[in-house]
Amino acid sequence: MKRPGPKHYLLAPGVLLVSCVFLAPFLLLVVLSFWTQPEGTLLVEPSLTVENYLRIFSDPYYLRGLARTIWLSFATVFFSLLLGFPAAYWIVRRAVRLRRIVMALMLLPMVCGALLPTLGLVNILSPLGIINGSLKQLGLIDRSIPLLGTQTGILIGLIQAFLPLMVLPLVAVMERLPLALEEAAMSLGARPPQVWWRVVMPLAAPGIVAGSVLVFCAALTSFVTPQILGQGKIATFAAMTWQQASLVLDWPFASALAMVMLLIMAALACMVLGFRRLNWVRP
Amino acid sequence: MSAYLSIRNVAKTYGRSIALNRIEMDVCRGEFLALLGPSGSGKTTLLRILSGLLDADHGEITLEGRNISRTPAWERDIGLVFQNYALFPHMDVRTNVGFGLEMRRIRGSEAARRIDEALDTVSMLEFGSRMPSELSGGQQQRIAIARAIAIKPRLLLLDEPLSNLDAVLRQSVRVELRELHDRTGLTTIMVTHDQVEALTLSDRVALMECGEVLQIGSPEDLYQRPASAFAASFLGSPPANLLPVTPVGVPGEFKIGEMPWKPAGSVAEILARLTHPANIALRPETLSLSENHLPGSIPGKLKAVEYMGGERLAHVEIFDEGGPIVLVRTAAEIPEPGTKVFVVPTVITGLYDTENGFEVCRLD
Repeated sequence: MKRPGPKHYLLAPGVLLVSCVFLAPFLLLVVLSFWTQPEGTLLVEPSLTVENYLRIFSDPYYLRGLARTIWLSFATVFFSLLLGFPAAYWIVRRAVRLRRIVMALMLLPMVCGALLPTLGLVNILSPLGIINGSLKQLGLIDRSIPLLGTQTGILIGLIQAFLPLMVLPLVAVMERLPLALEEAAMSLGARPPQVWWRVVMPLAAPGIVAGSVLVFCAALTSFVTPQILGQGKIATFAAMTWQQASLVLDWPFASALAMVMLLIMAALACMVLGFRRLNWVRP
Repeated sequence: MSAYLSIRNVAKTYGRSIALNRIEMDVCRGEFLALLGPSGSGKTTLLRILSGLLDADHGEITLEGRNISRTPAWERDIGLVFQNYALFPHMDVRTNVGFGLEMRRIRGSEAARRIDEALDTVSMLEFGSRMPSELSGGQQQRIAIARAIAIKPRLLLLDEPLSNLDAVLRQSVRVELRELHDRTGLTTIMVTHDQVEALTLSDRVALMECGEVLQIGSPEDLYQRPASAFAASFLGSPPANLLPVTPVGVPGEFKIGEMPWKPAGSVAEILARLTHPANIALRPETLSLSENHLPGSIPGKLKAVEYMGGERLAHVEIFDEGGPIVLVRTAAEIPEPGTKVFVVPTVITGLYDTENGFEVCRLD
């Protein structure tokens, strides 16, 4: 262990930058969410009211938007886990030489940003796109299945975009699991599914939780993917916030919407911290 | 005779390197067999093939008359104790020990009884509710053994069982392991690179090197009659001295390297059979030192003496400066290093071909 010494100043540039461009606006956001904007004006009035929050939780439009966004995020987590767990296991246990290549390929869409892969998906999912085209060619369908502008389309996009966030923590955890544990389970009579269920899954739990939280938060706040694949027909919470901030120009209300998302994530973070205590290594 | 476990023609290669080369072995019911060899000798590979965690390229393994070569590990009923124990860290001791029973759908009071029985066998009954991280290395090993015997295995495999224990614990666990074997009667195969473990624990030792079983027999057999130069130079601490001996054509006269030597007594009788050059094995504890020339002795100079507590180990450079070093282990007084001495051989442990290292003739 290195002693924390006078090296703290190494943090200073980073702290300074984060304070200016993140912390200050963030505090402004908190304050602003309690302010009001009288109808018909663009001026904000300093006050201390929960009016904006009440409006969110009384208007079915926003409540439905919130429910839809949470539902989509959960579904994204579920499918990422379903696809990511076997993938991570394969990467750790089987992909000996391919491993680096696979990891790099997986990270590639992430470093490309959200826009490029999503535009690619438009071509795949559109009525004249690859999926519908092939299904028609094979004679399996007569009419195009609507994928663009549906929740299914958005879900596919979200899973595609955030799967690496699930796989990376899983790989990190599984790498540290000795193969001997799985072999011991097999020698005691466990078939491969039982080895997964009783040994690998419980021991990979920290990675499952970390990955799920990452994917959930990313899906909850994602903006570009649902906007493009939803074709503007499906409003997610992030889109609603953007509408209020950039189109309606009601900044106090937009701040309150953003705060709701932040609070959901904060609640999730608290739950995860609670889960750490359930970890298998007793102190 | 039909063996309890028989291994026929089992081979395994990794790419171009041969891990196991046509292994043939029979194990009796209730026997304790040690697979002894240096690292890379294939002993662990053989253990993994027996457990079903690794597939052999070809060959056949029969256990209780049933061919299990293609049986998956989870259907073999073979208990395996790993070198680092591999206890499930997220389960308490009882759940660990009961894991094999859980997989066999044995539940409730029957499971509880068998867990108790297994824990009792390793004297760990009161540790049932502990987590593995709360146990010492020795205790973890007992639990690993309990977990393996709880399934009433048809075969118990131990992978380097003592290597992760400290020297003091090692000795007591060695005795306990043997007692456990005698009490349970489980046919046991242990992999080890430690000759003391192999010699003290097992009924028979299979000495392995380069993917082959060089010799298999009782510990006494292996030690006193090593069948190859490798066996002679692997077993014993320190192992046997190997000296190149050539008959010169005159009866009773030989050369060690280039120097003349005239053996005497029983040594001379055995060497009389020698027609070609051979390596002779002389165990350090069968040699003695003399300050005067005796019949059959080899002249040399004392290079160094190591005190080993009770005994001393003398390094003797025989004949001239730069000659081969012969180790002599003796409880007798030894002169100062630098003194001229004579090494007196009394017993020959083996005669080995200089080319292939195998015995020239069997000594009895």
